[in-house]
Amino acid sequence: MVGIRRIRPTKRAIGTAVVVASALALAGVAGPRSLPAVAVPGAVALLAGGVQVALADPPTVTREAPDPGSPGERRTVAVTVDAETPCTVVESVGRGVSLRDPSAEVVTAGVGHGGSFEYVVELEYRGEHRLGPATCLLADSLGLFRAAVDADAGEPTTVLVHPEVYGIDPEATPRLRGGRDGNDRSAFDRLRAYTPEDTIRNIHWRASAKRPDGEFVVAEYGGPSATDRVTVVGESTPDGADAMASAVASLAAYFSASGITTAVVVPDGECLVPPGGVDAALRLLARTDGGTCLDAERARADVRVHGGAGRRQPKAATATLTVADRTFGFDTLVDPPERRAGRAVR
Amino acid sequence: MSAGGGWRAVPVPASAVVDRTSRLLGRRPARAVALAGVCGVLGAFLSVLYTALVVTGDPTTLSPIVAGALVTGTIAARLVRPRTAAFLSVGGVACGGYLYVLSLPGGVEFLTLLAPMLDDASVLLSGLSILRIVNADLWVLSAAPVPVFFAWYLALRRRYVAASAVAGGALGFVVLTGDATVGETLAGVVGVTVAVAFGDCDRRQERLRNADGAVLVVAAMLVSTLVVGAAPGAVGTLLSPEGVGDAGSTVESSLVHAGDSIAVTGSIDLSPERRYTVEADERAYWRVGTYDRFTGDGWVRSGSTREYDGSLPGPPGESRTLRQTYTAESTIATLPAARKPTRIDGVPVPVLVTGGGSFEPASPLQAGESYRVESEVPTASPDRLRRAGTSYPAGIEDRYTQLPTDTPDRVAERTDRLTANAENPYDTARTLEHWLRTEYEYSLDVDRPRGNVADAFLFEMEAGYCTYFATTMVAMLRTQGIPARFAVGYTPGEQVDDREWTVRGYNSHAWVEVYLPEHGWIKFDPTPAEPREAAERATLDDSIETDDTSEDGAGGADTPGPDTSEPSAGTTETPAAGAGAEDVGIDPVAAADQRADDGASGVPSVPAPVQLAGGVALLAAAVVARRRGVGRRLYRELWLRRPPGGDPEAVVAGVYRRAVYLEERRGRTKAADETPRQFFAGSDERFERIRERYERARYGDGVDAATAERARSDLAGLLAERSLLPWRAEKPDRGSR
Repeated sequence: MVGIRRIRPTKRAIGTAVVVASALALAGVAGPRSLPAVAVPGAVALLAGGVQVALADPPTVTREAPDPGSPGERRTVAVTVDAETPCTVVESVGRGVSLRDPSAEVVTAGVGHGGSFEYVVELEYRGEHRLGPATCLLADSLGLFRAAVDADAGEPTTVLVHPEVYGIDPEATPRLRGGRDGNDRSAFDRLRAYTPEDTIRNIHWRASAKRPDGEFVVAEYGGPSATDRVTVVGESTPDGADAMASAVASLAAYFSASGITTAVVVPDGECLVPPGGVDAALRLLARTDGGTCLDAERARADVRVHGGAGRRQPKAATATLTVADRTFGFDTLVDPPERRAGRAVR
Repeated sequence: MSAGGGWRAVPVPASAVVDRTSRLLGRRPARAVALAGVCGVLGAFLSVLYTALVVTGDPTTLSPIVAGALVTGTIAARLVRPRTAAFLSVGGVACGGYLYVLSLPGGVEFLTLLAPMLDDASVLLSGLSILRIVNADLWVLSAAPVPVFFAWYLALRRRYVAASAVAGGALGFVVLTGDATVGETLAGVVGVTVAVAFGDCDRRQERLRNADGAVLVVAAMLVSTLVVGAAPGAVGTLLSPEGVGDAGSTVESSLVHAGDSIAVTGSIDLSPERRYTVEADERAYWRVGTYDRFTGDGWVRSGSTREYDGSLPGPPGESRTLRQTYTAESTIATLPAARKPTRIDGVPVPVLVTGGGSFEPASPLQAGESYRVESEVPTASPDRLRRAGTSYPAGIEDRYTQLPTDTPDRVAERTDRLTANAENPYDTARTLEHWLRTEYEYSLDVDRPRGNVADAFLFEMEAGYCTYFATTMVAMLRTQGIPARFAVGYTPGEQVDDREWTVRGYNSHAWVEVYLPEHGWIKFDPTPAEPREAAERATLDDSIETDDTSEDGAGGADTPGPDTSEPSAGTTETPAAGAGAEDVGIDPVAAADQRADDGASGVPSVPAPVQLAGGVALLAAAVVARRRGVGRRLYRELWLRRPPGGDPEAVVAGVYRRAVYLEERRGRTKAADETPRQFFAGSDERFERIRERYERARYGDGVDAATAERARSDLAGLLAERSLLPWRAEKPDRGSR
C-alpha cells in the first residue's frame, strides 16, 4: 500500500525542533520551569506530523476528460483531488499538448484536503495524449513535513487531438473522381429503392411518380464515377502518419459534407463515414499509426493516400494521393488560402 | 467528500442543514479559529503578566493597554505594510525600554545601564522570575503591548505562523523566566498549534472540518503533556541535574543554594548535618538573605546583586560592632552574617551584595574554608524604637509595603483590630509578634495552602512553621503601611564553647525585619520558640542514633538566659535556643520551580491532570468518530427507524427514501439519472411495491391512507429483516447486481 517515503522537514519542522531542543537544553541547564509543557507538545507535534505524512494514503486525482479537438484548440481540464492530508498537486501533461504558460512544465495547485482546480492546455498535434500523472506533495496538518507521492491515478486520462482537417478545393473534385464526371447520366444502370443514404439529387422523379406505392426510386448510373460511396485507404511510413491522417481526414470530411458515404481504411482499422458523421473517423485517424494495409483493402480503394517524406521537402512528411493510377500531392487539393473561411474544418 | 456522495440522490434534512450552515458561514470559521488560537497564545502571555502585576502593582492598568494594542493592531492591519508594522514594533520596544530605564532608581544614563540590562536579560532567561525586576510593574506594562500589537496585526493579515511566532516568543520569554505555569504554557502551545493549523486551513480557503487532523494532534499534545506531568518527577529527573525540589525536601536543598525566591512549601524535614561553625563574642541570628516582594505564595528578592567593594554602610542608629568568623563544615553557597554586616574578608571566592545588604558567594564554599565578618548590631532600646516615627524614605516605603493586589481585605481588617491599641510601628510589630506566637501551634507537618499564604495561615490554619509565621507577620505589617521584609538564615545554633556555635541544617530559620526610621532594620521573630524544641530535639536524637556526625550531646551546653543582643528578642528567646530554636522551610531551589512547574513537582496546580487527559482523549475520540462518519451513520440509523409521518403522499415518499437508503447501504449507489424502476429492478418485491406506490403518489393520481400504511408495513418488514442479519451475510442474489 504505502512504500517508504522520503519525508522532508519544512522550515516549520526545523523551527519546532530547535524550540524543542532549546527547551530541553535550557531545562537541563537552569531548571525545568514549565519547559516540559513546551518540549513535550513540540515533540508530539513532530512525531504526529511525521506519522501522518508517512501513513497517509495517496490522494486520488481524477480528471474530467476534455472533448477531443483539433491542433491549436484549447481545452480546460478539470481536476478533482481527494486527500486525507493537505496536499499540493503537481500535474504534468504528456507530449502533444502544452500548458498555456510555455515556461511551466507542470501545473502546481494547492488543494488542501481535496478540492478541484482547472488548467488550460493547448492541443498541439494529432494523437491521444495523456493528462497527468500527478505527483502530490503531502503535508501533515501542521505543515511540518512533506513527502512527494504519486497520486492514486485510477484510469489514465487522455485528450484526443484530431488530425488537422483542411478544406478541399471544390474545383479539384474531378481529380478525386479519376477524371471522369460522376454526373454523367448517360450510362444508366438500373433503378432501385430509395435509401436514406441517397441524395435527393439521384432520385429518379419520373420513375418514382409512376410507382403505385408512391415510394421513391433512385437511378444508378454505370461507371465508377457514379458511385456515392468512396473508399479512402491511407498508408504511410512511420513518419508520415500525421500527413496521411490529415489528408484522409480532410477527404473524409469533404466527402461527408458532399453527401457521399466514405469508407476509411487505415492500418489501425476502418470505419464508415456517413454524410455528416465524421467524428468516428476522426477518432480513428487521431490514433492511427503509420503502416500498410492489406492488398485486398488497397485493391478496393478509390483514393489511396500515402504519407511519407515528400520529394520536394524531404524533411517534412507530405501526403500523396493516388486516384486511378494518377498520383498527385495532397497539398494541390487544399483550398487556396484566399478562399478558406477557416483553416481547419470539422 | 466521498462519503456524502451516496446520499446525494436522496436529500436528507441533516446534511442539507450542514450544507446550508457551512455555506452561510463560508470560509470564516477557519479564520475565526485561527484568530482564536493567536488570542490564546497572547492570553497565556498576558495571564502571566497579569499574575505578576497582581503581586507588584495595579493589574487594572493592563487591560486598557492591551485593548489599545489590539485596536492599534487592527487599524494597522488595514493601513500599514508588514515592514512598517515591524518598525513600529521595534520602536515600541525601544520606547518601553526607555520608559523603564527612566524609572530605575538613580536615573542613571542609558549607556551605563545597557550592560547590566543585557546581563539581567540573560539571567532572566535562566529562570529568574520577572518579579525580581526592580520596577516589575512598569516592566510588565511596557512589555505587554508590543507582542499583542504585532501578533494581532500579523494574524489579521493572515500571517498566522508569524503571528504565532511573535506571541509564542513572548510567552517563551516568561516561560524561561519561570513565571508561566504549566497550564499557561500548555494553553499557549495549543494556541500556536491551532493558529498554525487553522491558519493554513483559512489560507487554503478550506472548510473548517478539514482541519480535524490538527484537533487530533492537539489532543495528543495535551494528553501526553498531562500524562508526563502527572507522573511525579518524571520530567524533573529527566531534565534537571539536581532534581526538582519537592514539598518533602530537606535542609540540604533548602540552604545549599540560596536563591532569589522562596516558595512556601508543605511538610518538610529537618537535617542535622553541620553547616558552619561560628566564632563570635555573642550569639545572633546569622542572616543569609532578605526578601522584599511577597507574591502571595512565596517570596522574591527583586533587584540585582552587585560586587562587594570593600565595605557596606552600617545602620543609621546606635550600634555596637560584632566580629564573627564562619567556617564552612560542608559545601555551601551562602555567606551568613549577623545583622547588619559592614565588612567581609577572607572569603576564598568573589562576594556579591544583594539589594537587601546581604552577602552571596559567587561560587560555593568548600568545607573548612572560613571568612570573617564585621557587623553593626543595633542597640537602641525599645523606648527609642517606639519613638522612631513613621517618616520612611520613599524608596523603602514603596518597596517594602508591597502586597499582592488580590490579598483579601480581611487580613488588613484583622490586623487593624489586633493592633488598634498600638500607637507606633514598634508596638504594632511587637503586638503581632506576640499574637502569632501565642495563637498558633508550631508544626512541620502542614499542607501547603492554596492562594495567599498569609491569608490562609490567618484564617484557615492552626499551625505552621517559621515560614508561615514570618510571612504572615510581614503581610500583616504591610497592611498597616509599615515597611517589613522576610529574612532567612540561621538561628545561633548550639553553643559548643564560650564563643563558638555549631550551626546545623535544622537551624535554618525565617524571621521578620521591620524598618524603623533612624534605626534601620530591626528583627522580630513571630515563631513560637518552645513548641519547636520537641521536634528539633527529636531530630537531633534521631541523628545521634543514626548519624555520628553529631558528636555533641543533645542536652547541649547552651547558654541559658535572654538574648540581650536583640532588643526585640530579649524576652522571647528560650533557654533551649542553642539546640532547638530554629526551624526550616526555606527552599530556594524548589522555589523557582514551584510556581512554574507544580505539575512536575507533585503539587497539582494543573487540576487533576489525569481527568483532564481523559477528557481530552474523549474529545479526540469524538473527532475520530466524526471523521469516520459515525455521527452521520448514527443519525441515518435513527432516521431509518423513525416512521415517516404526514399525509399519505409524504408517508409514501418517506418510505421510498428509506427504502433507497436501505438498498444503497448494501453498496450500490443510486445514480442521479437512474429511475426508481431501474434502481429497484430485481429487488425484493416489497421494494417493488414501495416503488410502485411512490410513483403513484408522485406522478399518478395519489395514494390513500391505507396504501401509505401498507407501504409503511412493507418498510418495517424490510427493516426488521435487514437489521437482524448483518447485511453482508445476506444472500448474495438479493438486491445485488
